[in-house]
Amino acid sequence: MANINRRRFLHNAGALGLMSSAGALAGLSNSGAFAADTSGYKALVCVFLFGGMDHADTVLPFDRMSYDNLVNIRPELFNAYENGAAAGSRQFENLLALSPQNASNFGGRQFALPPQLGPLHTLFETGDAAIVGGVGPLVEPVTRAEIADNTALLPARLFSHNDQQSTWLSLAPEGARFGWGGQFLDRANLGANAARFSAVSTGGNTSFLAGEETRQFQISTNGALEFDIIRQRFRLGSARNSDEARRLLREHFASQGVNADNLYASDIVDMNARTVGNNQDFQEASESALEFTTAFPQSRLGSQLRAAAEAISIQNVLGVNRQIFFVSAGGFDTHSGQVNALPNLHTEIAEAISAFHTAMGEINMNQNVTLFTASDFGRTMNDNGDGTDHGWGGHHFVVGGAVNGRRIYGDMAEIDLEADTYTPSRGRLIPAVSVEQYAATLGAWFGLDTDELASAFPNLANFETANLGFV
Amino acid sequence: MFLTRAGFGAPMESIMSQTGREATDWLREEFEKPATVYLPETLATYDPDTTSFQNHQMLFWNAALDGDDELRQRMVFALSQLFVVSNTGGTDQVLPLAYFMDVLSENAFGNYRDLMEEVTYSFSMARYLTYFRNRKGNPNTGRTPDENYARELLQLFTIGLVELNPDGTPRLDAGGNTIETYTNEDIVGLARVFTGFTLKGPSFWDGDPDGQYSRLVTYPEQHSTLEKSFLGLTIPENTGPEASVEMALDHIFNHPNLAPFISRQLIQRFTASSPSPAYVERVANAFETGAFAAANGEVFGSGQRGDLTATLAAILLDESLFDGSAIGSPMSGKVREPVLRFAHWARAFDLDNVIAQNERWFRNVAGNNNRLGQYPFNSPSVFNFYRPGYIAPGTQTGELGLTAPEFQIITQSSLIRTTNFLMRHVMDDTPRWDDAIVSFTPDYTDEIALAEDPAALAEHLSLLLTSGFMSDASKDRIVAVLNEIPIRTDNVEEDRLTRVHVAVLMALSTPAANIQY
Repeated sequence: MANINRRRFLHNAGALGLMSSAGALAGLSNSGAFAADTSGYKALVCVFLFGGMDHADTVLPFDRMSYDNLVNIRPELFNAYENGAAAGSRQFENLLALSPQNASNFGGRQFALPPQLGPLHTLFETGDAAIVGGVGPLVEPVTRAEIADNTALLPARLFSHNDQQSTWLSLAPEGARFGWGGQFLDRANLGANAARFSAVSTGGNTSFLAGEETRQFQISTNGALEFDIIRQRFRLGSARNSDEARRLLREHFASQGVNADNLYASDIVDMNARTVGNNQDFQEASESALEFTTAFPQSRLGSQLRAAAEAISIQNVLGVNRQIFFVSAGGFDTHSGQVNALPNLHTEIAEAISAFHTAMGEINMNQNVTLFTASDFGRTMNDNGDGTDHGWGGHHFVVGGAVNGRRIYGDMAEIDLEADTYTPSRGRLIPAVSVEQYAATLGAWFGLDTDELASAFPNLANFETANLGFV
Repeated sequence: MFLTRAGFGAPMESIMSQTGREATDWLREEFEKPATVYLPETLATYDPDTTSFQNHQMLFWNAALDGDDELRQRMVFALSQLFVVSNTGGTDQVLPLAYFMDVLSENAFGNYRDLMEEVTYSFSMARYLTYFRNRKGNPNTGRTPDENYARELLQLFTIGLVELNPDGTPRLDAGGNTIETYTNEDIVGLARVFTGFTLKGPSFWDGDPDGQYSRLVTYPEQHSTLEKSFLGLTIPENTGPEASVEMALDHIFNHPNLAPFISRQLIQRFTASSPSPAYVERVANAFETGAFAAANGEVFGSGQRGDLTATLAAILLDESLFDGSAIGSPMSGKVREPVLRFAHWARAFDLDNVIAQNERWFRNVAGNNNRLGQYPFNSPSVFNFYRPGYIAPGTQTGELGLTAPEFQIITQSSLIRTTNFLMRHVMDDTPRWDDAIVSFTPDYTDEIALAEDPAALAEHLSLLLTSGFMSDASKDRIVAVLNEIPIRTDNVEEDRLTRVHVAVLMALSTPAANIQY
């Protein structure tokens, strides 16, 4: 009864705008002095796996009974594996056994990774990686029974790609203005230069890196960018007056002195100014970027993590001591053809993450950089023939020298669709730990104090612990 | 200005000839023009060994930059961003994709209900959203139907996630919260409808050679026989596939969200990044009634709900675009996405030899430093290049809560890359597959005549490329840069051309040229 009343209160609080059901991030800039610990250098790297990675095909059960249960729940998918490109890779004897230090937490149940995740398996076994099981958006802990009778207070728009991506990254559905990456940096960063290069994306704009003051900078995976008309002498000639033309062109591309009444045009003026200034400074700093001896894979994720590693190698030159990177891989929405898609994606992420970890060792940054995975959601436990559909909770990896590795945090649910850990429909995993707990643990390592974390994560108090302890 | 809203841009003669003419006449002419069709041309030239897997995109570019049915193709581009399919697979997919583009082109001025149906029965959509050969559930193995299309049909193509008022704003419950339109159980129910789809041909698993670019067929024995319940409709058990699809699509089509949900997004693709609720309601009303009466009394539309000519007329002839209220407002206008920026340049300079197949940079193999940044029919996912609800962080429009989908793909990298892409095109110096074919050549005759009068050239480009909105600072800088490029007596023609190239590139990179006012 007390529980019901509390939920009623939360509903009412939402109605008054004190707290939305998903707990949208509020701005932090009026909350007083900076308390965050900003000593030394620290970076977080978010590897977002777009589409929703099938958690049950990523961390597999490895005690015989649980494994057989999984095969029985998704027999057509296991069957398809035997006819696909990665034949044999989901056979029991070919899985890579995990030996977590906290194995006793799981009774006799054991776990394994598919062979394509070999490099991540090695990082786990050597203590440089941890697994956090059953992570997903939650407002508060919920049970299967509450979901079945519609009394559960749930995050908005579950199972929808864009909204769950946004909820993972910004704690609210699409349209969220601030992400927790941006908020961390608002807290942690001091100084104008730091603000320009602290939030770094290798892809498009992401709400994750948007803060009150933090503005994201996009880096190219292939060297610094420059306007060709300025760089290429043959365009304008090399006479003295063409140097003047170049100077004027740079002002032009920066929209210097341009006034626009229209607000969209005015936004473009600001974007142009930042683009020209930041790229010029980043390009100059890049001249001291390290050529890593670590070989990064040629994959898209490999290129992005190489670019991130290079940027970290010049953090000193850029004058920034707290950074958050956003890189991504896509194609995880395996409704169909999962057996041909997912193994390749696993190879891509495991090789790229492993190379990144090695590169951080090369510049003695292992203790200073923590990488973590995130994804829209996990997927349904049963199959639809040759794929799986949208789920909720999923399993994730945290990698770095500071990670308390070779352990499994959160929970690894039993493989039993009737268990309380799944929704009544199609075995969508009910998260054991919330995204806010996962993020707050990273935030605490990054240097935010308890008050700052409580302010960044409005639902954190609804959970037993604010720190999962994996880093 | 009207032409930039309704088409892909216009040369000076069109701007002049349009002045003083009734927009309704132009619109009526566009509605009457025959549609560009893509499949016949694709079939005529298709060679599995040489045809690019992006051939369909090239054909779209040719139509967008050079086609006569400009409004229809702008609508095709808009619809391609609602009913999103993207290149997956190899060269053989250009045939079904051409078929899909014809579905959009032929129904662009038709009825939305027909579009929903023809898209549903197209191979490209079935493949992209994975209901192709999706089978009914199997209680023995625990297999259940693929939910992909059921979910995205509702979320993206028809009604959206939350209940809407007729003006497109979300409805709120007594507690002030939005109301979700469907639950996961609705998806499970609707997913049963999209089972049993395959190619025409001898059997479910064996299609005809032209099956992928013909209308899909259904097999009752592979179609779910269970009851299909969603959104308050129950399709009785043992209803066959085509009857189920018809009932399901009718029910979705009749949802009150459809008109505001679709209308708002179409407005965003034509005239306003963040349309006012009143504007959305006026357009949604035309969608609902199937008719729109212009200010001069002319009526567009058939009177059938979902009529897209009525909807388009309502978007393009809206009172706010003509009474001066929108143009002066700092919150009005539309951010131009890269495709529109490029197309506007191409149309403004009456591009000759429009053969996109010959342009290397029109396949997404452009270098790191010079990409347009948007490839039609090739968005990264079914969620399109950007989201209709995107609000750009750290911007003035964002502070006011104004949506700006296009800002989602404008970044500190893309601004440089797009400029470099434009530069080489402006300078008629792009890499081509066959150098003997001089494709994509702009006509700068008028501009060359003004090259020795930089101020006049700047004014001219302001009108041509920014609807006259170029700031004085930009004009002054164009003049200053051109004055640094001397006209040498022994090299007059080349120097004039260099001035024109630089001036056009500068005009295209003004903030004003990024906005459709």
